[in-house]
Amino acid sequence: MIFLGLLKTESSQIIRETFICIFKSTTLKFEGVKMVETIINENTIERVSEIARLKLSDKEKIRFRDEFERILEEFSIIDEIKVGDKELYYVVENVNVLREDSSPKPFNKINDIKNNFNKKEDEFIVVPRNL
Amino acid sequence: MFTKDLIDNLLSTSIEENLHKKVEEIKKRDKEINSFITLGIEEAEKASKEIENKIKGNTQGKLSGLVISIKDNIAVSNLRMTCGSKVLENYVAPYDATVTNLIKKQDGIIIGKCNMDEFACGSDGTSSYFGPTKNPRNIEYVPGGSSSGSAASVAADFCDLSLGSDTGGSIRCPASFCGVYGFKPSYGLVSRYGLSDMAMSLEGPGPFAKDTYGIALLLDVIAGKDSRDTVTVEREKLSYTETVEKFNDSDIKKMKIAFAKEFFEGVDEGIKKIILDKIGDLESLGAKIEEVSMPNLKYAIPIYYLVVFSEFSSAMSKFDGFKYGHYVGGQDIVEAVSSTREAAMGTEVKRRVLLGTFVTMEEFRGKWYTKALKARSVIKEDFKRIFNSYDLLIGPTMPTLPWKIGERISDPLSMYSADILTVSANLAGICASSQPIGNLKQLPVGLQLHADSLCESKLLKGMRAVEIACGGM
Repeated sequence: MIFLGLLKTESSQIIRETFICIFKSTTLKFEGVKMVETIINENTIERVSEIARLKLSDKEKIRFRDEFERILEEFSIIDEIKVGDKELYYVVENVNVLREDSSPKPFNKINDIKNNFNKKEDEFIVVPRNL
Repeated sequence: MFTKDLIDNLLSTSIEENLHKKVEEIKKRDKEINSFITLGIEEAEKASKEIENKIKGNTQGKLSGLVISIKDNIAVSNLRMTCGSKVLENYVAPYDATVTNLIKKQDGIIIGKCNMDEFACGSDGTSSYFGPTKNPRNIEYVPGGSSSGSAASVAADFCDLSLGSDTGGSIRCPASFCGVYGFKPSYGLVSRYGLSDMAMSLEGPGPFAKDTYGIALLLDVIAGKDSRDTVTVEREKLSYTETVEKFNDSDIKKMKIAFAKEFFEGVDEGIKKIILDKIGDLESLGAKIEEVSMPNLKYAIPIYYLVVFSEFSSAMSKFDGFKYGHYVGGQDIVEAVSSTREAAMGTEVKRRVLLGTFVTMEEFRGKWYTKALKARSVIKEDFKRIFNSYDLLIGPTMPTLPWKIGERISDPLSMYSADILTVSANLAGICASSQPIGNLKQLPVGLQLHADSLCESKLLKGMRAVEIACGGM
């Protein structure tokens, strides 16, 4: 933990990453200073990139990992808030509005939609093989 | 009132001439300011001729040929809609957003689509794929974001009104930095149908203008329930423009206005003084001013951004390059999508997509996303308590003056912190405004007012009171 604190100020990226991989606790406290969980290791970034369907260069992986730690460390201040059980997804109450069970009016400018397709063959979008 | 006088003037002179002047100004100065991504001059000229004929028959709509610019994340049929991103570089909207449709019906002339931070991810107007917008008050400075082009186009007199969107301050911040009026309506008052979503539970379209009357006029046109957006609600029955017109000096005496010291913490001393002086002016005019507490404001940034990251990463999943937008291709679908997104998305967009994916992953959502949703109630409760006793909450819009272009771009936390005074209104779904009240170092200072959800008329009265306290119009 001491090393992690010192290395953070020295910004020694490679050594720091090695240490970060070792620490897996959720929230570290060092001399009263709260430090973010160090679970953002290389595998986490890889996984996130895969789930998000967003390819990253090696340089981006290092950059984002470093930034995410800083951002989440700052954001861990929310742990101080006393919260209830209510999760506020929407500020209005009428999110489920039912309509009559009839077919909606068809969109009449289908060609305008098709004009935006990148690769098309007749009426269809061409996509790469999936199997 | 500037906008009202302008309409009266237009009705007796020429709509086409007004449009022509705007087009000339754009041609002369927008290469430098970069407030537009796409112009629709031909369509605008066609519309102006039609409206001119309507005026002759006295059948014109409320907007009477005013020239209006629209942020490029709001659909205007047959015009390119890029959201400031390479991802949608060549996308042409096949339909009108509800707000666009309403503007056309009331005879507003749409002149073009405005530059913006990429997918509304930014607070200074510099992250657009189409280059930064510059502040018309001083082109070395940022115009604020994300509705950078909307604010800049009004400030530069390229249009009479503009439509932007506000997710965490994206109307109020650029309004403050460019010295114009900006209004974030209550969540649910204005339809989001045809607005490219960034964070669906926080955002909505809203007007920019050169005065309170202009704000009320555009709000009158765009507010109301829309069957295509299920979160929309019925609006107050009264006319917003009438509310503003009927307001007079003596009405200020009926106002109960709160200010919270937390809204002044960390604010530039010069800005603080200008705002406090204006609060003093309102008190002299008879408003009742009292101090209240907003203890959870310091948590607003993390709560807001955790919700934004989560909703944004979900919203961005539709951009795969197949149906529309930039396309790279690949051996299989996963590679094609991943490579397309890698090549087309800018750094801040990638950052938010990845962080949103991370904080909603099964093993982390409890600590981050769910916690933020629970904490969001705390902010809403703070406002509820204040609006039980007061009509308005007053304070600065931004903690600093505009910064020089390029100054904050590499530090995301520094950029996020600029939103500290604006995000809480979006978390609570209430309405809020920004209006210019003075200058510091020759840059504009904006004053922010908040009112309770669906109390737009109270907020407009507050804006008019401040306008009167500033000496008038």
